[in-house]
Amino acid sequence: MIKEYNMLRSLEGRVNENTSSREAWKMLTEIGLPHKKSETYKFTPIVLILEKNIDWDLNSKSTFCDKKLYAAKGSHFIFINGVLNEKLSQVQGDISFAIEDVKEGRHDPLSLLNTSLASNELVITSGTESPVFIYHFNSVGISNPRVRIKVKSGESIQLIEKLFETNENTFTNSFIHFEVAENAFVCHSKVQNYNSSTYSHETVAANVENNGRFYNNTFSFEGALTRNNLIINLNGQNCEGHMYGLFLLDKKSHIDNNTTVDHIQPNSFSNELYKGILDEDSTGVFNGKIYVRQDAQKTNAFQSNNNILLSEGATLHTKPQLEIWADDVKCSHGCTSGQLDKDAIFYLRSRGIDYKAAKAMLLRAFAEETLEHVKLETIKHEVLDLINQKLL
Amino acid sequence: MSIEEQILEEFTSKEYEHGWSVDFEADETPLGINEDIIRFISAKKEEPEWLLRWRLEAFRLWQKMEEPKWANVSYPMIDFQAIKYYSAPKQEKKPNSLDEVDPELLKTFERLGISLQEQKRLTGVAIDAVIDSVSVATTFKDKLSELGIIFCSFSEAVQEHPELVRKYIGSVVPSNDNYYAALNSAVFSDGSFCYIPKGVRCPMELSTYFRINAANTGQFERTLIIADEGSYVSYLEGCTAPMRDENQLHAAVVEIYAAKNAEVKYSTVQNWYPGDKNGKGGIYNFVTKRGICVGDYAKISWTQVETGSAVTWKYPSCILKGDHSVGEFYSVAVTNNHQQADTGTKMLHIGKNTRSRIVSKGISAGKSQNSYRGQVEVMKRAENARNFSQCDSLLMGSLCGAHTFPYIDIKNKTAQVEHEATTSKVGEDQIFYCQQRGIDEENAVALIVNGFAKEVMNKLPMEFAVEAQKLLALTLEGSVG
Amino acid sequence: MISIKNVQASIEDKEILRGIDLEVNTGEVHAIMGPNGSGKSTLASILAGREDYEITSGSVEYFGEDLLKFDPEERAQKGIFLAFQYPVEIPGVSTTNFMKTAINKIRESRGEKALDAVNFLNLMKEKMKLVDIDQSLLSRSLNEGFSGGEKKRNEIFQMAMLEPKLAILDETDSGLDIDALKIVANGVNKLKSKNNATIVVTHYQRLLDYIAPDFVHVLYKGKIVKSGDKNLALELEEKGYDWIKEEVALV
Repeated sequence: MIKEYNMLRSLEGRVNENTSSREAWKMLTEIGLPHKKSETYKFTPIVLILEKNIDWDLNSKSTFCDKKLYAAKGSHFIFINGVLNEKLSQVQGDISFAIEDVKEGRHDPLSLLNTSLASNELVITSGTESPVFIYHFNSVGISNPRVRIKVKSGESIQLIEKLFETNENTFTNSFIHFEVAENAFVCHSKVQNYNSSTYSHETVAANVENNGRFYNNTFSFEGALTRNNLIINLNGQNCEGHMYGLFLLDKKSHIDNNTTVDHIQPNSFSNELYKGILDEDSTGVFNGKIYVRQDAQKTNAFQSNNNILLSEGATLHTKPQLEIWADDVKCSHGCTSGQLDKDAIFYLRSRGIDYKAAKAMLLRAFAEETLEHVKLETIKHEVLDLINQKLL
Repeated sequence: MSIEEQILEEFTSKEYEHGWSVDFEADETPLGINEDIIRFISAKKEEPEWLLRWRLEAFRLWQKMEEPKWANVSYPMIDFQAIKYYSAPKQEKKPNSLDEVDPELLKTFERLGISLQEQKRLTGVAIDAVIDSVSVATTFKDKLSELGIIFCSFSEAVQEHPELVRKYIGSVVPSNDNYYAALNSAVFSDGSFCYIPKGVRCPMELSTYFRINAANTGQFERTLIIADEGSYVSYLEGCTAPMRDENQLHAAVVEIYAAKNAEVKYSTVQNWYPGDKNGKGGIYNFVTKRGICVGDYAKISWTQVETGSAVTWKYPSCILKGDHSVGEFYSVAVTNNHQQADTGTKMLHIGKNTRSRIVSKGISAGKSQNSYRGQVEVMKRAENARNFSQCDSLLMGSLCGAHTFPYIDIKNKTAQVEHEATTSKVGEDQIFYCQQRGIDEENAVALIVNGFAKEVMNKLPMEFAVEAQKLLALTLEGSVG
Repeated sequence: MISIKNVQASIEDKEILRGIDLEVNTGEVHAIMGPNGSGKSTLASILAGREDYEITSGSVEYFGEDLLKFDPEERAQKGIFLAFQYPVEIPGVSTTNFMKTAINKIRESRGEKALDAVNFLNLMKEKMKLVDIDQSLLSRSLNEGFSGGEKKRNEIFQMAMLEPKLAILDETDSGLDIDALKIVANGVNKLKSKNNATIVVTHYQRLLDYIAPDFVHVLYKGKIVKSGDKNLALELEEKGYDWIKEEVALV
């Protein structure tokens, strides 16, 4: 009768034997998958969409294409259908890794689903060598990659994640967890340029201790359904959480960025900037939450979401939230939605630039602000190329 | 204790000053709700059959509905069978003029600072006074009727203008709109009714004054304002309740209908009993207020100063259907002690070139929780819709919370929507600066808070701006003299 | 008028003033100079009653009363005025409204009747001329969006309105161009009388070109290490503070 239970039933046979997985499954069957009225999935009725488009038993000979890998130096981890392929992976320098049993993770439904179904967990421990690349090649109905990154005190890591669909109508439910120790630094970047048949739910969670800094950059271009859950817990003092994102969508792409930053201790800082450009029949959702707990005095938290709608068919839902229980804080958020500035277009055209180029120029300027914090040139170039491709 | 703590202590220990009640004989139903109670209310008011049917239908809908849980407030389950749904001060017969109104009642209002004797203090204001469930007096009626303006109690409107009531009741807030709207539709007892005919500019402020007096009583009033083409009216609502240890429910519905070129300004100064400083007692204020700009160039403007109630759940909204129609929402919400407020607005842009503006100022102190919840929705055909929202929170003390939940949903690319929110505190340096110029802490806080709320206070009608400002200062006062 | 004796003060256990002695009489202008971090602003704040500082010893007598026991607003009501180095912004509160409240509070404390709107406005108009401040500025929110110069002029305007007995100008010259400086100094000079006194706290000598001090004191590491007349200021301008530091080191 209820779809979210049907979906659970059809996946029951895949649950792992491991205790944590069993427990997670039990919990999941109690709380259920996000239903139609779920506030956090209001504009992304994920169960309905998956039921309609995904065949859980879809299976094909997986194809792995090494041409899609970045040629840069660094460690490469290759996941095929959610499972690490050690043979194809390569580790450089003092980065170390281990395959461990899945341990307890977060308690939201999709994280529980990952904990239930992931066969194991890749644990990467930081070293001095960066960057680290994680690639996913998926061709089956459901893939559940699971990674834990431990960044030791005073160390840093640059992590780049990428997903490729080598079949049609696949669903990936990934879970990546960061433990950011004192004085550690993480920069995690994702480029999501999928197919129009790719469905994914990607959870990124970070626990940041004293003086730790965590950056996330998410660049999204295409995908039937992309849901990003980004959770940053600033557990320590003087922590920083940074969230930067761009979604530049066309066709029927649907993206839902759901971010949470939780200020728990005093003197932390968070900054968030998400920009959206929506064309054709695409849908963009942004839901940003800032929590400032009672003890988190002297918090500075800023959030901003700016959007441009280009077509009749585009839809935008944005909900920037502030929840504040401490009084000595500086918090602000702002969001806007609009069109391209007609005067600016006219100005450019009067200088001899045609309409299309003028439009692209302005949109590019609008989009590029989200790239400011990306240090790795290869990623920067890739995103800039994609922006140009989409806009011209 | 630091300066701030002292101020907070004084601020939070301030007592409610309208917390007395008066004993007069009341005509009331037993506790609880069922179809018989609804039939009783309807019969008591000598209502036509269609209205009884409408009530019963709403009641049946209500029984199937669930209490909304999404608001950022928490309170114990309400036992809807432990509430009295009708209580009216007993009067021998319907008063024909103010002279016939029970002098005890008149005194009640005098004590509230509201004179029902015409040509007294508020000469520019016509008042409809509602005590518990019924309207007891409406002033300036004759003068208004010369202009064709109908301003009377809802019950009277049902008798005198049934065609208008029947046409518009539930047209803006249908009885199945939400749980409390359905409950109100089933049991509403009275309220105000107002009709401004074509092209008439109402020459005075119209005002309804609500007071809950009896114990265990819910108040379910209903207000309906119809502004015909090209008309203008400014309307003000005020309210107080006695101090009681148990919580009392207030579930009102306000509907505004604005035709082409009409303008309605609706202001509320809400000062229901907020409960004591330990969170005991106080009013549950669950109100549905909505206006529709049906015609082109219509305008509806909500202004609210919310200082009372234990729990507030209230979202005065505008449906901008007519092209070029305008919706505005200006709000100051102050919460203190254990008060909880979840309030905001919804602006629904349907017509072309519609504009809306939201300014919300939340002030939280004590252990209170203050939430802004708002939605701006731009529908597919709403070409060139514009919205600007500004939500600012001021926190006083570290035990309270301020929350902002803005929803923005856009389906038309020409929409221009801007939302800004900030959170700040009353700065110690601001207080010191005022002190250095000779102003004591308490006055300094009042000054700063009034400054913070100024943009909204300026929107209140002149007659009430002063009152509202005093109310804000009073809430902040505690140790004068 | 005011007699400061061996005042020591600290903030968060950090000692800032290490024994200040200063005597100011009516009709006098005192300049307090010193390098950054010497404790000049702390001294000004303590006299106005800012609570961030802990006074660990010493006394301040003001017209025979113990000043330190009074709240900041009581001190203001008794005629102490601090022109802030960084005037605070208060959104939504106009300078006019603010001043009206302040003046009437001060009058109330003296048992005088509140000024009515007409008299208040007349007084305001009169004082506005003094510092060449524009009416439109006064109807705007207090200091909000004011330029540095406008803020400082607003401080002097308020000083003119409140007619203090002891005015303390905390780095009033910082961030002012020469024209603004002249206007501010001119305002201060016009307000000077044999019944009031002024303490000018400054880093540079240039303000003293326009406000002639009777006494100049050099504050260094929380102590007044040198006092003299106007010439001391000129000497400091010429040689900087290093020679003072050396002198202190020798002692």
